[in-house]
Amino acid sequence: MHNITVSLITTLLVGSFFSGCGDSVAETNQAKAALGAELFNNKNLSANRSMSCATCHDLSHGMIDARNGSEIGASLGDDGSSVGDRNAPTASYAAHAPRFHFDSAEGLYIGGQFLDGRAADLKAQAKGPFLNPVEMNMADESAVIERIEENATLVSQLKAIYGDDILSDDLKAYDAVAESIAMFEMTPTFSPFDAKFDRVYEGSASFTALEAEGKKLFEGKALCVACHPIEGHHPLMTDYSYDNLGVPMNTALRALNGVATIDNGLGKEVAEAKLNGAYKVSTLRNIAVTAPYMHNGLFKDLKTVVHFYNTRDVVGAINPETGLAWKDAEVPDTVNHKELGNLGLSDHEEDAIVAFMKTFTDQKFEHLNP
Amino acid sequence: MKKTFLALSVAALLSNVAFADDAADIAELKQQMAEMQANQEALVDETSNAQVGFTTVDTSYSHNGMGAAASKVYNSKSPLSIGGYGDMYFASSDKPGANNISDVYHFVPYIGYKFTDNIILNTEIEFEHGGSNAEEAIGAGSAKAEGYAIIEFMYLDFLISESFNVQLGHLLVPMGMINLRHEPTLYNTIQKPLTEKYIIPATWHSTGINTYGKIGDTGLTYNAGITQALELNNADNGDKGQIRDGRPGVTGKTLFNTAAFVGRLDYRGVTGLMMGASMYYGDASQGSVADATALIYDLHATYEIAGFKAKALYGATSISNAENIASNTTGEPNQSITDSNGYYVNLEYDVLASFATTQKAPIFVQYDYINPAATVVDSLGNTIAENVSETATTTIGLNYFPHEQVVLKADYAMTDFKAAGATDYNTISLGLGFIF
Repeated sequence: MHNITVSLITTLLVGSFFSGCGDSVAETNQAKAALGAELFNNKNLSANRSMSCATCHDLSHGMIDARNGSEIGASLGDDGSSVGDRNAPTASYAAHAPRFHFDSAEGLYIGGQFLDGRAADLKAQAKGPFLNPVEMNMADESAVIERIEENATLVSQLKAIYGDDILSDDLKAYDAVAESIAMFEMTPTFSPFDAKFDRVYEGSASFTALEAEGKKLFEGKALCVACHPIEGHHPLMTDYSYDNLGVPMNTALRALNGVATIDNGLGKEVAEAKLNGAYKVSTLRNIAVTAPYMHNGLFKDLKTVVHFYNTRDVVGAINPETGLAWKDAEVPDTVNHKELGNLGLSDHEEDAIVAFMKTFTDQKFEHLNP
Repeated sequence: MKKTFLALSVAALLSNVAFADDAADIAELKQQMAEMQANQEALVDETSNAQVGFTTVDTSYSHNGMGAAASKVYNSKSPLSIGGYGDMYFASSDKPGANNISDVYHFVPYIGYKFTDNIILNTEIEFEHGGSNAEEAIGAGSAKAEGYAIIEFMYLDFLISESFNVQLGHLLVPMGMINLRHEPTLYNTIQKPLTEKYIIPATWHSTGINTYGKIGDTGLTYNAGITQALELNNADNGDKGQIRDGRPGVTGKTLFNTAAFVGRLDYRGVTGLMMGASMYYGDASQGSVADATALIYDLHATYEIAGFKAKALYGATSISNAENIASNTTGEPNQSITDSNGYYVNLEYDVLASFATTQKAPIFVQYDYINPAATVVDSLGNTIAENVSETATTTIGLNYFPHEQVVLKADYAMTDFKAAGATDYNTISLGLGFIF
């Protein structure tokens, strides 16, 4: 009732149609994003002061871990020896993922952050890597705040935005840190929507013949749009659903990190066996410059991925990166055989699809297109 | 009482027949029978109106700008009024991947009741796309799952004077032209103009209070009221559906944290002319974010003369502090439109206007332009997109009214997207509609 009363009074009496008093919100958001940028690049927030968010989400390289090219498949931790078990996804366009939820109309889990959706949103995601033993390896939230308190500029920024007492409660301060990083990830730095694909849509560029052929296949025979819709203005090229693509175990990675258990992905998070081996459908924006591919970084080349989708279920088909037949899925019981595995694409058609996907690269990363 | 009178009359007549014994008596009896039959027919008409509640639609009547069928209870002779409308269509589009479709688009009963001549209940129950169906039975994601049945309006109207009346309840928001007059005999296209759908956005109904009436003898009428505020912080932020998806609706317990002002002024002082304006001003987010307000307004006019009819409407939306709506660190959404606009012009000519017939056959052309996300900002106030979903649709077509309450429609709509990458398409549609 109070809100209605205030609204009516504002509406009927004050009548200040566009007061501009909300500018402070945008200014606060800008301040948070600026603080978030500092935090995102700050290596002091890892145990050995060797890693920042930007280490695994390089702002100049598709927002992935570019330290080792495609060789390892997952990221090396702050301790210099630990290796994760999942491929660091690009942080580009991550802000657009809907909150993790179950869509009862579709009967599907949708959205969230991390490959298995275990963080509901950007802020929750930003809290994770600081405390992950194989990533930044900080002991706890208080340890992160202590490192921030070493930096007078960061302290000043935090207090200016969140109040002078923000550092008196470590969990609140940690929440503010995560929120600021999330706000930075929501800036156009991460989502410029200026790829050739966008420029063609807007009429300022045109596809080559091979790219246009790839688009036709992408929307048709190859069934890509079933999970990577590209319709309309600024498509995110994912439906944010989860799927088991039948990816084999990355044995080379497992040899490095010593992990011996089956990775059940979403199935573990939601405790549903039928979803074992399912991972979030990734955005295809910047896909050509964000190798390695798949949740465990198994494939080094984008064309290998297309060939895998094309021939995974074809007897005698060969993995071009190993020269051997495709290995069995790590989680075989829940593999999607309906939409991929035997698409009947020719080698030329695979090339066309790859050429088309190269148009998904942001303008600032186009020089990285292979 | 009337039935008793009828029975007694017939008994008396039979009694007379029993004693008739000459030609004069027979002639007199015939005369009496004819008079009795006339009386009986008159009584049947009267009793059916009084007890069954069936008043036919006066298609020329409109109460406070609403359609004829929606206005029926106001001039009904009986307390109970039942009316309605319906429309359905077949459409074939050359849009890639599109199927030919048929859609039982609307069936809408109006039920009204006069408690007294001054206290009126009016309701509209809308079955859209065939009504509701369980998704389990038809498959999730099916187009058939779009069907629903809702109460579109349900209000009490307290008629006080020509210049001041009060409506209270769930009401049509008095904006634009189609929102109050969405019966299929009142617009000639099969689909409603996109300007009215995405900018106004019709059909828009919400709970609140509305006052209305005439302003003296000026030819002006007004509406002024308070209604549920929009909730523009929704899943379609930054896209053409943001305003439309912000309507409070009626299903379940809808939010009423904040309210907004709605007003309208129309002028009908010149024969054949109606022109006016309407506006919504108030909170834009049901209080979910601070200081975000929406202004939606339209300017509209219609003019009719000698079989010609012209309609035009311009509508626009401005959201102040839209970055507050976009500001959301919970992962979705982080953008919002700040401006949208659109307009349409519709010209029609009734080719039967010069013939001595009550039938009508208007041919028409309509140009409908929308820019529903003219400017999109992010949470920092940066403009991150412009002219999203900018679309122009030109429609040509023909209506045929074999009866003033029944219309058959055919039209050809050419949809032209401004974005080069969006595929233009054309749609041919056949439809029917009626009011009662």
